[in-house]
Amino acid sequence: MIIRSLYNVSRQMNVLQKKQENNSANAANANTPGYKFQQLIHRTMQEYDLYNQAGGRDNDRRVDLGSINFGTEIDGAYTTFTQGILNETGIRTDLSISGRGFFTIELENGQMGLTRNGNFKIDQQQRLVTMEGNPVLGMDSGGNALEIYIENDNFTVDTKGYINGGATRVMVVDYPDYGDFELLGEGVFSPGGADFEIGDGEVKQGYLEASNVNILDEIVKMMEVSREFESNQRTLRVLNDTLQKTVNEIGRN
Amino acid sequence: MYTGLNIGKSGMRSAQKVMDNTADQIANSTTEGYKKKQVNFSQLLMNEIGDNQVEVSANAQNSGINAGSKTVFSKTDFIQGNIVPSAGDFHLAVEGRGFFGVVSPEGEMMLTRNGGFHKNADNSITDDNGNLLAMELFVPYDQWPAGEGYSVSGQGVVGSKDDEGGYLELGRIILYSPGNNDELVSVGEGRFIQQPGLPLYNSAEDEGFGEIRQRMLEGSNVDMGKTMAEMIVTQRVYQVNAKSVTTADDMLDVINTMV
Repeated sequence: MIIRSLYNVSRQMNVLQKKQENNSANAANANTPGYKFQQLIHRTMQEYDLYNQAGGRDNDRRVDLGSINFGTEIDGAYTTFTQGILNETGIRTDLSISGRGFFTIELENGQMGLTRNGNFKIDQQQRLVTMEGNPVLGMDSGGNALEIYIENDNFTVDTKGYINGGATRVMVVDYPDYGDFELLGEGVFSPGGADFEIGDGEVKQGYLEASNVNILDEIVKMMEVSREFESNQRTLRVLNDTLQKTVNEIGRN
Repeated sequence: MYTGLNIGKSGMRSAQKVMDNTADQIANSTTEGYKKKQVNFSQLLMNEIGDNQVEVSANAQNSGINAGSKTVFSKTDFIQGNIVPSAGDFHLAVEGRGFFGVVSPEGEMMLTRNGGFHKNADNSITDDNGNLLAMELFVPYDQWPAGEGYSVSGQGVVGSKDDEGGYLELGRIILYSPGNNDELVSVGEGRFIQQPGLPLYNSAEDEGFGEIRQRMLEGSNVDMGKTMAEMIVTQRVYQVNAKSVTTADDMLDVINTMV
C-alpha cells in the first residue's frame, strides 16, 4: 500500500508541473493582444472500493475498507473569455471588440478561425490580414463571407464593423457556448460545429485589446503550485522513511 | 519541467524585444519625421499534454499549453507628428498624406517624412545625407536666382522673386504615397522604400495629398507619456516571467533534493 502511495504522490507532482507550465505560458503572454488566460483543471482519479478477505472466523470473509483513489489527473483546460482592457494605438488597422464576439479569419486549410487579436495589417494584395498573414473575413449585405480589400490605409471602421460606411463589414461572430472551442495556438480558436450568430460587441478602430492575464494572480498561483509541490515532496520523504522502517527495522525481526 | 523554464524564457525574451523598441522610441522622441514602430507579443503554438508526461482523464478537453510568446514587428505607425516652426527656407513639413521623395546618389528613390532640406551651392536641394529632393523643375538649378527668400506653396510650388521684382516659379516638389504604408520597407534614418511592383502615387498626377508647410518641420510622433507607461508595463511583464523561471527552478530543486 505504501508503494502505491509513492505513485500517487508522483502523479500529483506531475500534475503540478503541468500547472506550473500553464502559469508560465500565461505569464509569457501577459502582453499579447487578445490573449485569454487558461487554467488547468485537475481532479481526483476514479475511486475504487477496497476490501480484504480477512473477516470472519476462518479469515475468508470479505471486509470492506472503504474507497481509495489513485491520485489526481488533468481534466482539461479552461479558457476564461473575460474582456481585456482596450489600449489606444491610433493605428487604423488595429481593431478590437468591446463586448462579445470574435474576429473571423481564414486559416491555411480553408477553415474558419476565431480570434480576439485585432492586430491586423494590409498585405500586398490590399487585403486586411493578421500578422501571420491569414485573411480577415468580412461579410457583404447578403451575409456572405468574403476577404476584405482596403483601397488605402485611410479607411474607417464603425462600431458595427462597416468599412468606410459601405455594405461590407468586418465579420464579428459569437457563439452561445464557448465550451466547444478548440485552441489552435497563436491566439486562434476553432469554433467546433455550432452555428454562429452575429456578435453584438462593438468594433473599435485604433484600439487593441490587451491580454486578460492578471500578473498578480499568476504570481500567486505560481507560489501556490511551488509550495504544494514542496509539500508533496515532504509526503514522499515521510513515505520513504516509513518504507525504510518497514524494510530495515520490522523486516529484521 | 524544462518546458516550463523555456516558456518563461520565451516571455522574457519577448519583453526584452519590446523594451528594445521602447528604447528606440525614447531615443527618437525628438527626431524630425520619426515614425514609431509597433512591436507586439504574439502567442506561440499549443503543445498537447501527452499521456506519457502526466495522467489525463479520458474526456479531457483542450488539454494543451502554449509554448509561450514571441514578438512580431507589426507595423510602422504613420500618424502625423506635431508640426513645429523652423528657420530654413527648405525646412518643410507635410500635413496629411504623402512622403517627400529623395533620390540617393546611386539613383534610388526613397520616401521620407523628414523635411529638413537645404539648398547647396549649386542650387540643388538635398537632405543632410546628400540625397536630392524629388521635384519637377521649371527652371534648371543653374539658372535659379541667387540668395534667400524662396517660397514654397501648399502644393509644393517653389518660387522666388525674379530680377524685376516679380514672382517666378522655379519648380514643384512632388509628394509620393504608396497605396499601402504597411508594405513599405524601412531603410533606416527615417527613410523607406516601396517594394518593386507595388503602386506609388504622386501628387503631380493623383489627388488626395496633404499640404506642404514651409519653414516648419514635422516632429517625431512618439508620445512620451504613453511610451513611459509601456516601459513600466514591459518591465513588470519581464519580472513576472523571471518569477516563472525561478519557480520552475525551485521545483526542479525540490526534485533534486527529494531524498
